Amino acid sequence: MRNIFVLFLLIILIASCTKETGSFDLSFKAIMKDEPLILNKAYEFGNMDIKFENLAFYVSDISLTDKKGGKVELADIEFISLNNFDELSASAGKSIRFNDIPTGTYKKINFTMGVASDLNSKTPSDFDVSDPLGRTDFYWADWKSYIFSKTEGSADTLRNGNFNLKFFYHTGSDELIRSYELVEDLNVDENFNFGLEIFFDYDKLLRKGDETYFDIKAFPRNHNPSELNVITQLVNNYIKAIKFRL
Amino acid sequence: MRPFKLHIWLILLVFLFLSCEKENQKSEDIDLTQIEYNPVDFKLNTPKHFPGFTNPADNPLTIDGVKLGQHLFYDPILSLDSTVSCASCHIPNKAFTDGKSISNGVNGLIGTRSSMSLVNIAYAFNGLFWDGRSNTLEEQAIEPVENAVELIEDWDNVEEKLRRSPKYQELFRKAFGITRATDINRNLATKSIAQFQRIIISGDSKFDRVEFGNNAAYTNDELDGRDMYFDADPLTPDAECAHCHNGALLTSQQYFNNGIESVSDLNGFPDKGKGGVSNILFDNGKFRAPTLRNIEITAPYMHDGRFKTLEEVLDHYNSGGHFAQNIDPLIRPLSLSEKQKANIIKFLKTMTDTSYLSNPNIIDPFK
Ligand code: HEC
Ligand code: HEC
Repeated sequence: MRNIFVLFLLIILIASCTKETGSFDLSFKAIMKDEPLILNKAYEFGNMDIKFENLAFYVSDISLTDKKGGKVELADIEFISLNNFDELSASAGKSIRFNDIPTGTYKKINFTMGVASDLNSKTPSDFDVSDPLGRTDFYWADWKSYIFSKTEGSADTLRNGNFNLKFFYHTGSDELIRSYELVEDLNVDENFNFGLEIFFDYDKLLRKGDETYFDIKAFPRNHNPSELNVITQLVNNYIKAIKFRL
Repeated sequence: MRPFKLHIWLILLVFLFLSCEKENQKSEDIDLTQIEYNPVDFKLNTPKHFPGFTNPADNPLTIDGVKLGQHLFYDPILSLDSTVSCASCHIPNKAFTDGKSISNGVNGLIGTRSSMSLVNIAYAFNGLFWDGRSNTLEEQAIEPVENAVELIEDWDNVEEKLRRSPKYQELFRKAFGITRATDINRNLATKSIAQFQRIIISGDSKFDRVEFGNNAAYTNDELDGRDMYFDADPLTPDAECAHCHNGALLTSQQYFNNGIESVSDLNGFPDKGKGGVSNILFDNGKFRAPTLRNIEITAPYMHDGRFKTLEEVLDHYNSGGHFAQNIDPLIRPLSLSEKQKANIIKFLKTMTDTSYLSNPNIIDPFK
């Protein structure tokens, strides 16, 4: 009888040991000129000034990998809007807390900018209206693709205080999915909330191959589904524009 | 001593009498348990090509809940002078709008905004009203009753009127299983009205059948309009409409400034719209992009009903609207010809579907 009792205790102990979990925070932040990016604030942009007015994107397939190569999926899809109108909210960015993650030290994090192709083959009608992928303003039917990201604003091309040239760059389509991996020791602990900040430097995002700024005046918008140059450049710039801080 | 005591007795008696009278004026506490309460789920058939929506867990659709809501929706009992009901401003054969630029309510009082279609309102997830100030249908239905223009009635009075009505005693009992007439309250009333509104589904227009079915086709003109609406053909101008009015529901439910108001700066909007709710200056003059389903029968157009016809609407969008710092970048001169504008309108008219008018659960139960 006593033995059974001890065994029982032991099992409970083991079960609770292996069930140790913690949470992990991911924060997405927009920056411009090394400062938190604030909407409707004028920023120098080559020979013109610009203001950002709408910044949002999808991130998919977010996962952590442990030392043994085991994968922990954090999320299939997240819709991230970085529309912040003041310093405080801009520096806070958008944070997501993932709970019930087995504790330990992970060796890398993976994520995809855009909607991974298995999900991109679906349409908003396949989801609840309030689901991130239920958003019809981020779906382009004739492209048969979600709009992965929107970067919108207005430009003062003459520097006379008149921000009257509206611009927008909408990315999308399977070819423009870009996946990233950060190899770094990432802790998940029962008692502490560890997290990772991911910065999006919009100053680096809107640059041509030769590092000069996009010619917003000549190409204020991308719209023709076959006109992929500008937005291909934009998604290729992620590699320089995305920065991490532990 | 004695006369004083008598006095007290007298006063007490008067009090008793008074309170009795008050009780009499108020609804008697009628026992309703004799009436059968047997809630049955309302099976809502939504079109296959529609997204899903989450029904609030604390207000499931039941046959009797919907029925009660249907009665309340069409019953002027909710208004001060028993002349106006929800249906006065949300008329079924106008896709639940009222055909007026600005709605008027009791005593002919004029409001400030145009009525909105209630079709497919179950799918609203991003705020109700033109400015998004209300979150749920349950919360929303509280407002019209006490609105200074709409029904101008006090909920206390409405509750009283409903508690006294044998018909509503029965309908509320069947819908919610209340045991006494005094259990009737605004909370249950608005829940049932919300249930009723959630069953107003429309998904069988020509647009639905062509885009999502396989037994219908557009005319050439409609197809030409469709391609401009969806920016689908590199050879015709992009009209950009589908970026804001899209999906099976024909609305993105997002808030935009579509350039209808001429203002010198963002403080100049006569109706601040979303900005009045969020208190963000950049939201001033933004309104929810409404569904274009049934747009043919919901004139006049925009939150203030400023455009009488779809031709005027197309002229507006074709012009590129009035510039403001927060005008949406998609609103710009479109260079559409007369023929192209007409074709877009022809396409808009494929979005008409009033099949719900043959649904006995949706139309006026008093007729
Ligand atoms: C006097 C006319 C009038 C009456 C009566 C009235 N409404 Fe409305 N309704 C309106 C107007 C005008 C709006 C838009 C108001 C705004 O945006 O501020 C509206 C908006 C709504 C909306 C929001 C729709 C959307 O797409 O966001 C709902 C739902 C609604 N009404 C339901 C009701 C119900 C239920 C009743 C009865 C309890 C009712 N209304 C009575 C005029 C009326
Ligand atoms: C940038 C987003 C956007 C675009 C693009 C757009 N609309 Fe709209 N539309 C809106 C908004 C927002 C409203 C409501 C504005 C208000 O009432 O102040 C609206 C209102 C309307 C209305 C009136 C609806 C009603 O119930 O009163 C019609 C009709 C309409 N749009 C048709 C079109 C057509 C046709 C096109 C393309 C030529 C188009 N829209 C392009 C955002 C847009």
